[in-house]
Formats: sequence, structure tokens, C-alpha cells
Amino acid sequence: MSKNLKELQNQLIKYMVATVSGEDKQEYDKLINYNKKRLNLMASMMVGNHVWSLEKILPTTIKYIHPQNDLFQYILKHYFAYRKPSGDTFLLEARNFYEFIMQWNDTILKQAPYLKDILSFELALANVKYAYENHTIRYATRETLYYSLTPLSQLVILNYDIRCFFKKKRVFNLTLKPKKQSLLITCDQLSHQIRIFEVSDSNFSLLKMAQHHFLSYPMNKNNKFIQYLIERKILENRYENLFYW
Amino acid sequence: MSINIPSVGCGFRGKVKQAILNNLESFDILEVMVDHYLAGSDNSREIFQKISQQLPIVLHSVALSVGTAAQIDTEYINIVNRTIKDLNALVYSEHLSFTKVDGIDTRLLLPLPRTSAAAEVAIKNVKSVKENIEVPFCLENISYYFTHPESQYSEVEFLNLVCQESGADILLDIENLRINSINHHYDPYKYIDQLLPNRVQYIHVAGGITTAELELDTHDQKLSQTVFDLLKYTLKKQNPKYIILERDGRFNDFLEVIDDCHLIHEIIRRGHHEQKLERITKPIN
Repeated sequence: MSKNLKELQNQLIKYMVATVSGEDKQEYDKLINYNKKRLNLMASMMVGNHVWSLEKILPTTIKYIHPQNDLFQYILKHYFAYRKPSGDTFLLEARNFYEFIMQWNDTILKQAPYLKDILSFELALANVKYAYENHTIRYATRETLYYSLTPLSQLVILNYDIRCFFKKKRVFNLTLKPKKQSLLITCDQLSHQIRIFEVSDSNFSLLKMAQHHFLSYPMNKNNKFIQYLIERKILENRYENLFYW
Repeated sequence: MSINIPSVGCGFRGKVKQAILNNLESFDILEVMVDHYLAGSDNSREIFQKISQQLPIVLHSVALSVGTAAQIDTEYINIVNRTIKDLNALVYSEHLSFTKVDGIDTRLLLPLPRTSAAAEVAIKNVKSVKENIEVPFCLENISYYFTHPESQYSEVEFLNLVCQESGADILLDIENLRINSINHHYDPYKYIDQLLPNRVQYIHVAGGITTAELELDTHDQKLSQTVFDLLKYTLKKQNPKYIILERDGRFNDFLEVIDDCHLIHEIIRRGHHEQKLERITKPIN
């Protein structure tokens, strides 16, 4: 195989990874005559591709929060800096997301913006879905299925409906104008699906549901790992007032 | 040579699974990504297998990286073969690009320098793929935003060279052609004229967006009139078997996909009718 071609391909990809992870860019002699603006554009596309892979782990969050938000950027920055995508695509690696985060030290974990809130929320949904699919909530009472997301938000199960309300005090994507948003999550017995309805703050009402989507994911090792992280209390809750009733 | 009436379909995406299943009658065929099949749960693989009993499947992938200056990933080829078998796939396609080097996989289709050395690597790897799979293999032209300064061949010359020497057929992505022709300033119709005759077996169409600086390959818009025009022109020049509409975003407007598939069917129907008329009215020498 061509040694020059191999070196060029190595330099090109390393340059793009360095762009994304914020590492110092070395002098890549084979890229001297390249249009760096366009290379940087493709590096940002590389991030975009990986962000969408995160929906395997954070399906609800990624649906409602702009992929350019600081949490996803933070995860990917560390992914590119410390792990380097290898072998299979990240889509597959994302299934082993817990192994990746397990390598983070406490400092990195604590600095991950909103991670505790988001992981808690995703875990809550996963638990509810898992319970529903396994029929353990059919005869459950409100008390047994109460799940606290944060001190100021909660997931409540009433009869066969699962409803979760929370509002963000600030948006995750700092480039957008701050506005309040709300989510209502409900699961009815007939559909066997968790439906997520997004309603605007001004129209926040059980009866005004703007749109709905369907989710389906099993209680897998990622979820178990998330639970482990939460139980370890390793994640700093820097934004206690992020969610509230 | 017999004239194919191309089968028309869309790329299967999990987010629009229900919409696709509810509209199967709108498609002759579906395209499945090897990477989605591989990454999916057992349950999702079962769904793919059930669909394959209702509609023919063509297989596409993004992670083979035929342009990487290294041996082809035999493990990935094994996965492709398993998927072909599970879904009775008719054809398998990949991109003429590279996505990874040792230790790093970008998941991004990066352009190859259009040089003899890069062609040699791609030809060797494609031959290896063809030797190890049991269905026809097509190579797709990618969209790209930067050019390697040392390139010796034009885009179409490079695609032709690799396909000619490796024996691969061509998957012509018409949206990529449209985007590249604008971003890199060339005539897309001349590109189509120069393609190897009767080698375009497979076509992709999609809709992208226009920014102040560049055309972007986003796969989330309705097909543009330019794409329809280029498709009509391609169908006059080539004889493809499959046309797949790719959609990767704005899934709430999935009806646009159905509408566009109907429009493609209409283009095929009219084109076929015109070709028949030409045959009937052609003077006998």
C-alpha cells in the first residue's frame, strides 16, 4: 500500500480530531496546501455524525435539546481526546458508552454540564419503559412508582398513565434565546409505548400537546451504568434548579 | 439490451419505521444500512427480516472505507455477508472514500486524493470485496468540501478508473453530483455524459440545503428540481435497476418522501413511454 497515501490519510484525520478535541495542532507537512477552512468544516461534520450516535444512549435528551449543546460537545471532546474512535463505528461503540465514561476521572465527570440531570431523566424513562414492558407496573400504586428526578422535578405515575413534567430554567444551547420549555411524558396502556409530548411554556397544559414521538429502548448495560454513576454520587449537581415543577 | 424499469424506494431509518411500514405500497424496494442492521437490537433485526419478506432489499454501508491505505476490514465484510444472507439483499454498495485510518474511525466520508496511488488502493480493496461477497457491488460518488491539491484526475475520471479496473458497478448519487458541481464548479451533465456506459446500476437521490458559501449534503429536504432534471437525464443515458431516496432528517415531513417517490415513478413511466415511442417511430434502415 502507498506509504505516502497512508501518511496523508493519517495526517488528515489527526488534524480533524485535533480540531475537535481542542488539542494543539501539530504541523502537518502534507496538509500545507489544503484549504483549512474546509477541513475544519468537515471536522465539525465529523462531530455532527458522532452526536447523532449518542441518541442510542440519550434518546430523549437528544431529541429535545439541540445537538450543539455543551453536554454533547463535552462528551465528544473527551471521546476524541481520550478514546479515539476505532474499529467499529461510534454507533456501535455507543452501545458500550458506559465503558467509555467509566474511564473518565471524577474531575471530568463533575464538569460535564447537566450530566447528572440528564442521565437521571434518561434512566427514569428507561426504568419506566422496562417496568411497563415487563408488566410490573400494571398493579402498581403511585407510591411504588414515584421516581424523583431532582428535588424539584418528578415523575409521577397515576393509574396507567405516566406523566413527567419538568421545565428548564435555561436552554442547553446557549446560542438560542433563553426560553422556558416543558415536557410531558405519558404512557397509556393501549399503545404500549411511551409517548413524549412537547408543549410550549405558554401553552403548558395536559390538553395542549404539540407533538409526540415514540421511544423504545431496553434496560441495557448503559442504563445500569448510569444508575451506578448516580448511586456513586460522583456527578456534581451544579444546576439544582434546572428542572422544577 | 433490455431496458430496466428501475425499482424505486427509500432508505430505511428507525425513526420513520412506522411511517415506512404504513406506506410499503409506495415502494418497490427498500435500502438497509449494514451499519444500522449491525447496531440494532435482535428485535430490530427481526423487523428488518420481516420487511425483507415483503419487499426486496438493497444493502448500503458507510464504514467499509475502501479508500483507506490498508487491507480491507475482513470482519466488516463478514458482517456484510451475514446481512446479505439474512435479508436476501440484491446488491451491496459503498462509497468511494475513506473514513478511517489505524486507530481512528471518523464516521465521515472523506474524499480520496484523485491520484494513481489512491486509485490503486481502492481498486485492490474493491476487488477484495467483490471476491468475498455474492451479490453485485456498486461504488458511490461522495459529496466533499475540500479537494486534495495533488489530484491528477477529475471526479468522474477517478470514479470510472476505479470501477473499470475493479469491476464494480456505479451507484450515482445525483444529489452529491449536484452539490459537487456547484461547490467545485463543473457541469453535472458533462459528468453524466462521461460515466462508463451501462455501469450505473443504482441511483441515490436526496435533498440538501444551500448556505451562503456552500451547498450542503443534508438529506433532509424535498428533492430539488435540479435533482429531478439530472435524474431524467441520467435515465436517458444509463439503465439503472434501483433508485433510492435518502432521507436522514426532518422526518416529521415524511410525506415528502412518499410524494417524491411518486414523482420518480412518474419520471420513469414517462421516460419509458418516450423510449417505446422512439423505438416505434424510428425509421427502419
